[in-house]
Amino acid sequence: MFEKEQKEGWQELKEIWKNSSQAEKINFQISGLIDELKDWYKSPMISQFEKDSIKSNVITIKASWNQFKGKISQFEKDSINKDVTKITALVKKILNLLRKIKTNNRRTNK
Amino acid sequence: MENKAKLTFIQILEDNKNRIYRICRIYAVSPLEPQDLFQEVVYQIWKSFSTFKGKSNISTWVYKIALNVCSRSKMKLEKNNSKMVRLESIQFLPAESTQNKSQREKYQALRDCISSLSESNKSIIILYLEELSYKEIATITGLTENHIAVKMKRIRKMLFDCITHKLK
Repeated sequence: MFEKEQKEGWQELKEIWKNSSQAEKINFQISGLIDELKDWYKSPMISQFEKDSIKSNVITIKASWNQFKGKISQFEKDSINKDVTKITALVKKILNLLRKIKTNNRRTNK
Repeated sequence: MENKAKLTFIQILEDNKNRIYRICRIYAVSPLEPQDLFQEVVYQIWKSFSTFKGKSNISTWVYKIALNVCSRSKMKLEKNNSKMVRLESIQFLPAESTQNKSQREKYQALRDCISSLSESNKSIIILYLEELSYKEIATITGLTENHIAVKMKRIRKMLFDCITHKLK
């Protein structure tokens, strides 16, 4: 009698267990899932706040870019190019200087 | 991922989504939600999909991943102390539950009692409730069939006593 009661009890528990997944309906958006998984791999633990914040920044930048798109003069482009060239040259000089110091230090140590 | 592989992957998810979700509901401890665990399991399935050699049954493989991911989740959460981002490609829509009040209470008692078990016993009883054979449970947990049979006897008694006590 006790065994029969237990058996019925377990059967009921199994049914309750099976139905427990019906609280929510799960849908997959096939087209975007793989791409999202690839991105998620890079940073799975960033917060929703950060994600929303990045999204909002991208929207603002896109909107601002649309205002300026095609309106940048050749003078501005040339000026930016000059600045980039100057900065690159300066970085190269610093790196060369550091290399020389390193080589001198090695010679002194020998 | 090739188109054919992509379709197989999606099909595996579709076939096993309810099984995975049931397991996630047991292991989810605040602030982690079952949905967070679910997408972590989906991610691990996707990651290991290329290495699946088909030696075992697909659902056995899915159960193994789901149990591993869920049992490690607490540790991971403590380590990172942060919440996961929800994937937009997986939607969880509230459905009208077929369970009445008494069944909901019984589920809550079952969930609480399973949660109080040791990790190893928890996995075994979950697989038992999923109606897997002792042989399949042994394959997933790495224990022998005999060991499972002995353990099951004890776990069933512990769980039954716990639920009866909770529902008094």
